[in-house]
Amino acid sequence: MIMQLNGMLDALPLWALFVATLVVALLSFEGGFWVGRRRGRRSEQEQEIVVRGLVGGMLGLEAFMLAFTFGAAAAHFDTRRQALLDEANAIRTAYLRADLLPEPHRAEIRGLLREYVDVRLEGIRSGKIEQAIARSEELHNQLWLQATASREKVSTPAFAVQFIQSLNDIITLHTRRVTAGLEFRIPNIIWIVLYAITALAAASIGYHSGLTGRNRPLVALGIILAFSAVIYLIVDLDRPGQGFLQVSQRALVDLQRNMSATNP
Amino acid sequence: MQLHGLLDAIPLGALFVATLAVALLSFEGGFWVGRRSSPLPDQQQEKVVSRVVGGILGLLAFMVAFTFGVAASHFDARRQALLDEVNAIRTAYLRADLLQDPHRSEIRNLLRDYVDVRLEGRRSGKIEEAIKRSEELQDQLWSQAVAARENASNSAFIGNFIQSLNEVINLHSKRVTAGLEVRIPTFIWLVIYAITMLAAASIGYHAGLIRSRRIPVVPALILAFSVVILLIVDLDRPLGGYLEVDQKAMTDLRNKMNAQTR
Repeated sequence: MIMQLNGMLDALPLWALFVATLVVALLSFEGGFWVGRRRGRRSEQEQEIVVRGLVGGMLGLEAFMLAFTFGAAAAHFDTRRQALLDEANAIRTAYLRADLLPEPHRAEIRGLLREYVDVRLEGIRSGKIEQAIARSEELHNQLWLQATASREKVSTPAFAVQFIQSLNDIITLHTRRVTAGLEFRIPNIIWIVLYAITALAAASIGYHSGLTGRNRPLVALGIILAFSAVIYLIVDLDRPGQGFLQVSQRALVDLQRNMSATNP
Repeated sequence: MQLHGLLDAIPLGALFVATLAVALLSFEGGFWVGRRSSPLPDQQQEKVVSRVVGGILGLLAFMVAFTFGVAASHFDARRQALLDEVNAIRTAYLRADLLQDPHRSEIRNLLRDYVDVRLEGRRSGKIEEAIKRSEELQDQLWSQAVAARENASNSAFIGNFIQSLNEVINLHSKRVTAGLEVRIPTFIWLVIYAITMLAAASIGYHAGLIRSRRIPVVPALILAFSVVILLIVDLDRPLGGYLEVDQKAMTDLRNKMNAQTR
């Protein structure tokens, strides 16, 4: 019974998603308004005061759910940012520690690490993530082979261990970045629930306005716009590699510059 | 309280229906009482009732949303524990390379078995069995590590491997705890259901006072809260339901391990 866990909304570009959210909310509002108008005519206006409280409760639920989902998406965004920073540090450490190894492994490893940084940056820039992942994993294997080969010639094994530790960190952070980027997402089922509540809340506002008068209040449009904007923001935070919110690659770019400076 | 098992035994669909039923029955109860009370003398009093109902609904929305937040972060913790475990196993597998044969290949076989046991336990749902088998494998790995120490050329590499083996063992308990014990306590569920019933009953009471039963916002509200409660239960349940931690990282690891032995 397990559905595809994430990425239900990925097929739509961000602006289309915003429009779709608005349309869903406005249609629900209209539906509620229509039912409310017909009720209002049949002089059931005394229920207005009950409905008022209920709409408040509905909006409260909607607001809290959106806020908590926003919190989760922001935390995932921070995880991605942190993973990038950690990765830049791990690569720098390995690059420095390679200094402790004998030639030719030292130069080999440094060349591989420079290529590694290039592959990472290029993958993000071009969007060819799968390709960059495959190439990164090849480089991991080559780095590992160099590390184990250098072990035989090293005068002090403690240095080789030091380097191996930092190489393991690089590999670990690769998995962490891939998982944080591609899998730490807001699950589909939460999106379904959020949209269901949004539709129900908009319909309740519609019903309330239909009950009390024949005009659609402008604030109703205001609140629908506000909720759609927050949903847009959550989707943007949740989607790696798209939209206004993207993890800055600056730490890696700096590292790339440092590396070429130490090795002209 | 040890009521987890009790709540877990109910399938999600049945739980959803039960939540709806509890809320609707509470509404009807409140309606019945409100209908029998004399109508409120003036508008002022009606405002008081309306405020109180709003307050209860606000409290319920807060409670439900906070519990949702807690359940979502537990879900993330389970996801994170899996990822950390995959990384630890991978590191140990690589570092085993630095040991002498036969320990090297023994340890690598044991680690491959370990990954299989983890995946299989998840797939079949026989968690207790998988935990037991995992702990046996940990013991065997440990004896291999200790034995490798005796005919190692280099103690630094053994130390290195042992570090990562300890990590694997620690992450096992972290995953077990995150999966089976870090849950929404049963007492919180009792409180949430109690507030849900109170809220539905006060809405019913208010509707009964004005003798108006056909308020379409009531079913909409009950539906919205029940759906969110269902979502929380699903997030909170490690096994079963629509939402489960994706085991992809572990499957990928196994594929990589197989590729390296060949």
